[in-house]
Amino acid sequence: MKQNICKLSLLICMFHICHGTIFSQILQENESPPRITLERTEIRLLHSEIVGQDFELYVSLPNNYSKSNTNYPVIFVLDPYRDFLIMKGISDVLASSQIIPEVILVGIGYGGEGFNAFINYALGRLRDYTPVQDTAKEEWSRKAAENLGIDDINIISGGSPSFLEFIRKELFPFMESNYHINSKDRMLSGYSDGGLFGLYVLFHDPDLFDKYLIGSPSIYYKDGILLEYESNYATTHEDLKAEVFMSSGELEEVTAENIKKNEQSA
Amino acid sequence: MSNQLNSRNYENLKLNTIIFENESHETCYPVFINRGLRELNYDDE
Repeated sequence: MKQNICKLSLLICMFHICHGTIFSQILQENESPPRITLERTEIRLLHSEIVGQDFELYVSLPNNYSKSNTNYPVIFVLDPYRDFLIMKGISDVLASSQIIPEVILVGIGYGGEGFNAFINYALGRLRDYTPVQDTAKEEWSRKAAENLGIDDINIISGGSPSFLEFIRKELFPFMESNYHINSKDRMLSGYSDGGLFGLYVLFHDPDLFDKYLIGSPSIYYKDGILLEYESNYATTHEDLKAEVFMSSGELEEVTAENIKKNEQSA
Repeated sequence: MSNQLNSRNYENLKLNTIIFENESHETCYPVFINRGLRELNYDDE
């Protein structure tokens, strides 16, 4: 009996020792706790001669990707700084439930750490997702930057033609030479100004993607220039081969009006 | 935009548009992704 109690005590001690080692990490002075990493996700750097930008790509791979010869559908995600985590979380859940197939996600980002990452994101999306220059939007952004204490950055808009060329001539070849991608199942996902860019692509180079996931696009940009692009496309085309999902929120009219007022008053 | 697109009757365009109730620009993204991924024809592949 006494021997059993000793064994039990020893087991309890060992449990506490192991438990302490495994589950409660004791940090040394000046040591930071480990950071969370995203499962099955890697960062690739891609320099663009066309845009003159080092892009930081977030590439999320399916389960068992390394053991598979499958060519996977790919979703290119705009605004990954803000949206990649949500896209990855939702697509992982839907794929694991076999509601959608497993996919490769590619976030097209601008890199940086901390506050610099935010600035790179804000400047990059303004330049790349807007099809023509909008000086009012640039001025509004300049004032917003000044309010953050930043006055030495180059704020430009109207870079969508170059960004589209980058995707076609530099990004696609890079992805298709490095990953198992089904080049006949490419989706573009863009929200807000990202949706503006998505519709710009749809009316200028629709074959670039097979599917367009367009959320709350900035239809108001330059007094509705997207509607003009669509009209121009319609004068020369009867065919538009694409699958498009487009949505907005019931309460968004208010937001769009406020954005426009802010830019006009800048 | 959706009205204009629908009025064209483009060949080979599969267009699905939705307005989410009680969602704003700031709240809409997760709903949009969840619904959009499912709607984009994956169900018949």
